Amino acid sequence: MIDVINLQKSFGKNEVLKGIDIKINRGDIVCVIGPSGSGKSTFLRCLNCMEDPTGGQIIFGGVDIADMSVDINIHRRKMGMVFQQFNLFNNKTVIENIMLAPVHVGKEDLRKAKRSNAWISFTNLFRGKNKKPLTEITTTKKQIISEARENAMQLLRRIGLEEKADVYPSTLSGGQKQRVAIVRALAMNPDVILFDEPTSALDPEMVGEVLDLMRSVAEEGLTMVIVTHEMGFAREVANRVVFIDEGKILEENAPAEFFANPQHPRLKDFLSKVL
Amino acid sequence: MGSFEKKLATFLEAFIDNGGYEAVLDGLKNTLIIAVIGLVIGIVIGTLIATVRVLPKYKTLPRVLDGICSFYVGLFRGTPMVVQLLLFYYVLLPLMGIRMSSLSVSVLVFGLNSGAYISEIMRSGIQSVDHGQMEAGRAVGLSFATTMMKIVIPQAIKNILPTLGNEFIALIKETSVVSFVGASDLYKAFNMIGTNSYEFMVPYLAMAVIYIALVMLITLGIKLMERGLNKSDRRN
Repeated sequence: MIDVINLQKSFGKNEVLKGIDIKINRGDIVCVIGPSGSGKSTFLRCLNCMEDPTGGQIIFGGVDIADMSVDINIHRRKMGMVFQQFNLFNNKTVIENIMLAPVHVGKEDLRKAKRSNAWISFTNLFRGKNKKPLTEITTTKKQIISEARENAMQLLRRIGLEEKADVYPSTLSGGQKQRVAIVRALAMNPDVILFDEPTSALDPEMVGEVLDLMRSVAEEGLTMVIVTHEMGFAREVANRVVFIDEGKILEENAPAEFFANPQHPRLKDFLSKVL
Repeated sequence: MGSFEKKLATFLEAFIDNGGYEAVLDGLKNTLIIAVIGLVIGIVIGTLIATVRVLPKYKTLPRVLDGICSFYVGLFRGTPMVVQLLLFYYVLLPLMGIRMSSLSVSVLVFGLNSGAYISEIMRSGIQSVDHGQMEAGRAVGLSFATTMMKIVIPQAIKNILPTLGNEFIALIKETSVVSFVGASDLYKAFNMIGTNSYEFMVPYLAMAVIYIALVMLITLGIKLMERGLNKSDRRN
């Protein structure tokens, strides 16, 4: 589903990613581990072009999204992202945070359809017989909003925070914020969600609730790419674990094999320190 | 203080009996029109410029726009308001063959001038908003402009509201220079009362009091607005 070919990224003269090749299939749960400064976060942020790659290709849905001429916003709708620092919109309530993108996208599509219909009916005036059919518009703005609200409430119920729907994010705990951030990504019905160290900024006792939610998302069969330091979680949930150091993938394997029988000396060294 | 009472009586006569209050009300109206519309124009221009100046700059267009904007800001911050007013009224607009009333020229110049200042205020406001907010907006597929408008700028405005209030107060006070091009503001009204009655002490005192009262009212208004906008903060 995501095909990364020779991905490179440098900041000025500092070469962070030195050619990464990986194929992520539908339903894969890929955990990316590595020491700090290894480029694992940069790799993840390149996947949805949060950082523009300086070389290589990222084929997503048949399109090379690393190409700067591609409208990245359309592809990002299908690629959720969860940040280390949660990044909930501070000026929106919890439910508005979740509804914002679906409502905006829905309204935008509606506007586009209306505009193209207006154009088609205008050109139809000059066609004799075979008039072009209009695109069907089945929704209204109100419907879009109420559907998004319903969906958002359902997601909130799933994480047990429906009574927090109308409060601002500043009143939530870290674990609650991160769970809202995850369902905000889910609200767009993405094909893949990217997690950038989702539990690193959390108190230890809140890590569990976030990991539980991620586990339940994983069980639904969503594709996930997770940069994490939670080795236990990686071993249990992932179906592939990737070790990145100095901008390269040094080892990639199924979790059982990866942790029990590491091959690369850097990985052996790394695991001996963290496990 | 016998002489002061006499002066007060002279002022009251000029103010009430000889229709001085009409000039004052008219001047007050013009002062407020210039400051308020100037501020609104300034906020629009300032927000646009600030947005251009925080655009990512690896393409040519943003760089060119950025150059134009910093030239504009340099121009309007580099000359006194009076000079701009005189230039517009006596040089630029006549050269372009445009006839405008002195009031509309004042509004225009105040808008352009405060736009330059507000752009810098707004830029620092935008930069004070955590970069993660923009990233989160982009990550769900919103465009740069949409994220800016719906997420970043509302938070930026909340952060810069006190400074924006300062700018508004400065504008109100600076309207006293519009008499240079013949627009009638608060200063001109009281000056006229003074000239007509050969007595300046009380008119100027009254003028100062009105300015202070205006500024205090604005300060109060800003405080109320801040309280309204702070509802997304933890402290209520």
